[in-house]
Amino acid sequence: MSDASQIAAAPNLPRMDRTQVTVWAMALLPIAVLSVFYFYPLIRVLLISVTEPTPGFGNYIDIFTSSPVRKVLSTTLWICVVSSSISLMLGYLLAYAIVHATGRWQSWMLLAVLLSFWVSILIRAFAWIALLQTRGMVNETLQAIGLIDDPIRFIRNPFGVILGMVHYMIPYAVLPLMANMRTIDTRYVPAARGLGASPFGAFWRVFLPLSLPGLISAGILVFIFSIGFYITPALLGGGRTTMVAEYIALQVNETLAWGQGTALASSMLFVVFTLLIVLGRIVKFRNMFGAA
Amino acid sequence: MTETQAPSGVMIQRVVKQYGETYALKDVSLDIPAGSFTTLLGPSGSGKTTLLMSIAGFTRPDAGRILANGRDIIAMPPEKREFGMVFQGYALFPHLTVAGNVAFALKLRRRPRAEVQERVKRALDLVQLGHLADRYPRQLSGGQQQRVALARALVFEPQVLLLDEPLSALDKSLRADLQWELKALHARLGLTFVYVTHDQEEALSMSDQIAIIRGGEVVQSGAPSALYERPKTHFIASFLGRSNYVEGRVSGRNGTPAVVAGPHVLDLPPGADIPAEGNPVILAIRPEKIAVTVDSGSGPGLPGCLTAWSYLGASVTCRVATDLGEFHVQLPTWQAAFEPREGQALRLHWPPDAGCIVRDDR
Repeated sequence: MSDASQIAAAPNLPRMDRTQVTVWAMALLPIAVLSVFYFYPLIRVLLISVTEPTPGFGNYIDIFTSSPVRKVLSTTLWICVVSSSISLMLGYLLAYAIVHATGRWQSWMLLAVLLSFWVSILIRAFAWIALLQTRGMVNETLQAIGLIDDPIRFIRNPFGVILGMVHYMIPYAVLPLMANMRTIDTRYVPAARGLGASPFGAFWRVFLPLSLPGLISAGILVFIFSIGFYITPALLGGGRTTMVAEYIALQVNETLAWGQGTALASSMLFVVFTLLIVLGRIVKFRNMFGAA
Repeated sequence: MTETQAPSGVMIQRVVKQYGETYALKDVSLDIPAGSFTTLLGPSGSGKTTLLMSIAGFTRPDAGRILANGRDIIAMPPEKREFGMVFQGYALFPHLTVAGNVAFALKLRRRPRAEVQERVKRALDLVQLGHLADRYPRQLSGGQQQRVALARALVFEPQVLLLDEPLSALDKSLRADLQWELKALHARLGLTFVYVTHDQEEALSMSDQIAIIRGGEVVQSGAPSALYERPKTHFIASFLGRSNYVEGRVSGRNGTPAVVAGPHVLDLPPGADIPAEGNPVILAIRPEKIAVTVDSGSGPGLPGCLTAWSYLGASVTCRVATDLGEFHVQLPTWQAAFEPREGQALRLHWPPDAGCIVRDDR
């Protein structure tokens, strides 16, 4: 860089711009890949949603008026709310237990949570089917010990879908909750006890409010995940419980109603983006509590 | 803040706490009189915090009794003990304002709103923080946070206030100011204060009673002056201030007790608890109790030679080499009757009652 003549030789580029050029050159490849394989298809999807079958916003209006779409959306919404809430509650208990466990236990418990990341969602769905189908292990065992006469329908219904989704989402709830709980000073709860709070009172008035930012951000994260579930509802819902991702695939692959499918996909994208913006604000809000 | 009840004292009887193989507390007994300012003083890891946490109820001792108001509270959960507690680092709730923190204990007790407001205001005025009621803890300085922690612990009028190194996070001048304030607060409220610190100056300046804790045991307890003037062991003599030590044997020359060390015979105060003749002892002499004269070649006193000195404004500290080892002598500047010069021959004098026999627990 000290060679002045070389810098002067670079055509019309002041010194500062050279590093910028390098940065852009390095970014060029990813940008190109993203443009071809991500932004271009995305723009196509947005365009199709307002051009097919006729130009205009008819597809978006249909989302609110067409009764099959409304049914799918309401199914999606309630399944997402229920499965996210259950994941959040179980995740909260797990995160609380892990954060309060002693050193070695803590690593083992965390490992157990992270283990589930290694098993693909497809394998998990099939595993649940193997366990819970009418002639699966659980039903056969229950029948064998005489607890039930007829097999229970665990899957091909909302229960199966929610079970599969919760199973997948719990780690995504545990990790942000743990990160938040670790920032809570371990003296706060004893301090509350010393001031007269029962163990539950100390949790309710001190620990829970301080873990609220973690709870909200984990909740949004898990909810965003839940909207996009495709394989789990398809397999464990057995065609009876259709969620929006499966419905979009159906529109695009089977009925070839591309305009309807892309309009739904774009709307989902919009919802997720909105939630992400809210999430961004919550995470900043959490930082406010850092300097206690 | 007015007291409705007489303050309670705390009696600690033969308390033991073991973590695995190590004893955090081994057989600790201590009487904390009602209304006293009692300090648990010890180096880090001595068990003083474990003892405080046992009194507070956060640590459950393995054996022994802790009595308050004549009742054994050892099995009582902390929230039932009604002791105020100021934690190290304060542990102010970050999601509540200053007023919210102070009101916490009152809201738990479901006091009417008007009463809560009134008492929060009084508690904050007590620590001169009334104007910061709406701030959050993170917006306060360390000294202000410390006062909020005090107000929060005092607002429900506990009979005993427990303080775990409340000043250790503050800088030196602020610490000195707050020492005066704490002492004034204690005098004003008349509560029993139990104060944990590793800072001997803090302990000496504020306490009615100090319990020196080492290795999970109370080595000695008593008034600050008693501990300073009559330390029972070598550890206490060196932990509370400085001392010079002379090792020798007891002699009963002419019926007056003395210590024979090398060629010197050092008189002991009569009536002191002195081991039998011939036993080895350590005599501790405080640096400020030694007088110095210029050596004229003969006469009374321990001869020595000035090796170094340090001028400290109000006093001069001298190091004097003698044949009993090096002595540290602290002289008030206005009393130093000689111009220090390296190698100067001096004689050290002290009255018999300046010396104190200490047990060897090094």
